[in-house]
Amino acid sequence: MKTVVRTAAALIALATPLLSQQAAPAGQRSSGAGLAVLPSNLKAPGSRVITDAELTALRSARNGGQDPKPLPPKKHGFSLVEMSTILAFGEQSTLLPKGSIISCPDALKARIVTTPSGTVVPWQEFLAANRNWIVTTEVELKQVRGEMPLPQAELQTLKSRGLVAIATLNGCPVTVLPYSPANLSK
Amino acid sequence: MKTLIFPAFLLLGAAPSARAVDFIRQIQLIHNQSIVYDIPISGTTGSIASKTIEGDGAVFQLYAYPDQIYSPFTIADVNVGTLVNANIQLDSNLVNLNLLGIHLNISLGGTDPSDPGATRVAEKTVGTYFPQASVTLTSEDTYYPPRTRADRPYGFKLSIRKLLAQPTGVTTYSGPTKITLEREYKLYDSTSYNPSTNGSGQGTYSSAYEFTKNGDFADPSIYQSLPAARPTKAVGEETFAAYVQVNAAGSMARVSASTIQVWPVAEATIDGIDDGKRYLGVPPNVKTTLKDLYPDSVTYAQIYKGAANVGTTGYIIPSTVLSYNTFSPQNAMVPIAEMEKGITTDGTYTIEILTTTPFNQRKPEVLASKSFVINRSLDVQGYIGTSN
Repeated sequence: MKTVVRTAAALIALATPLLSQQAAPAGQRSSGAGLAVLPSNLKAPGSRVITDAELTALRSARNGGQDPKPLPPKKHGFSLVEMSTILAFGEQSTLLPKGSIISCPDALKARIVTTPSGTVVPWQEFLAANRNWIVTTEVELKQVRGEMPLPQAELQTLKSRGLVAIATLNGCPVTVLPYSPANLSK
Repeated sequence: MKTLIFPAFLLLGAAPSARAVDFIRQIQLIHNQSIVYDIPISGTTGSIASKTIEGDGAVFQLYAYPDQIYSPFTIADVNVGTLVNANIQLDSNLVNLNLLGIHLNISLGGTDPSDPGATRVAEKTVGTYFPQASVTLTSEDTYYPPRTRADRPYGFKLSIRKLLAQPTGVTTYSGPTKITLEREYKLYDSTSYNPSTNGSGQGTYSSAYEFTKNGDFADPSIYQSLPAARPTKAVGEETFAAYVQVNAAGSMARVSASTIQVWPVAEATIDGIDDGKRYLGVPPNVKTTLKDLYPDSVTYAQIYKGAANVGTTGYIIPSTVLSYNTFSPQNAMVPIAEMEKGITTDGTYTIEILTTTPFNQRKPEVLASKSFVINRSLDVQGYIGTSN
């Protein structure tokens, strides 16, 4: 936030409070006022600043008359939401890798949303605040790749206890591909 | 699909901590499906071992959550401008991070305006058959991260290595055969000099280029084309990004990018003097209002005898000299006092506001000028006579 400071004695109204904290390293010009900050090798004035018309002409000449046209932003894929599953509860929501929720009771399915709501918080913060209904389950690389099935009995137990299970690898949330025997041959 | 299996390393520093506000997302294609792995980051420098890289490659994205403590305006040392540096070595499975300045540069990232909450600060794609590209933008201003003024051109360089048409010994090659170079822009607010928080004001330009061969490509003078009402007052940034296609669906991953900030040309007005007016004494209450002074600039007022003549060196009024060496444009209002020290005999005088910037070899440029006439002596014409 910029604040304008005007004091009775000050000659200059500054637009940012950062100036007073400026500590320039040796050899670098610091911000300030007065003759002390005038460059010792000040040259004679060269010209007036450029006008809009002059700049437009200069730019057109350089671009050969083909100025780049501004267009709406392009989607490239691998965007945050496209690759994420979103959990929301209360005032917070968090982003998890897509497919990392391996078990979810029907009653809590409404907490998996398509767009984040409220404040988006980091995963650790969301987990800490919602430990009463979220657990993490460590999985193996083979299960991540869909080459080994997940322990269904364990997941059923978690579901019946009303808990959402998130797959983690070495402590970090990870996508788990659905198990398919076809994956083994690849 | 050929799979390269590397031994899984123990993760360093991956224990979730209460302070972690950022994370690296690793995405790779296994069995034609995307596997996503989020690694939290705590701290500002160090290395993190990624999940095993399998298949033909992986996309690493660095996301950061805006942290209220690290608002750019509270960082005292503005030389902490090192852009996020994430080096990924495919063979060592290690991601080296230098996150110093990540929060200062948080506004320089984010290619997808729909990314909610977290901002994408950096992205890198690595893979067996992925080309290596390096995009560099340079400006007359040597400050880092790169910045330029709205009227000054900047230089662009792209070097491409390891782009393969068809690797030997592989019969079915499905890796990328070309690099697409795109130019993107992001507008900043003209008073706060920051991008909008809701992702508006972003876009790409119609010109995009495709490169199918290795080599070095350069363009030494590119003019900014930000969509602003006045070209000299454009505020924002432009990014050149190199993309490769990573899957049949056409998803593009970024292999390299560089961003340059564009700051507007300064302007000044002189108040308290009417151009060409005759004054009986030194005009009082003269002040100058300065807008959008370049972050690295020295601005001052000078007065000299005679009509306006650009190039004249006059008496520099000491109380008006203002120097800035910071990271965003500045505004100020300066009273012009002690003008009489530059006024000797009566006549026409010109007062000018000048600024020096890293551009034009630091030659001062005239922002505004006004001329006036001083006539301090009164000629009384009359006679003394008597009348009866």
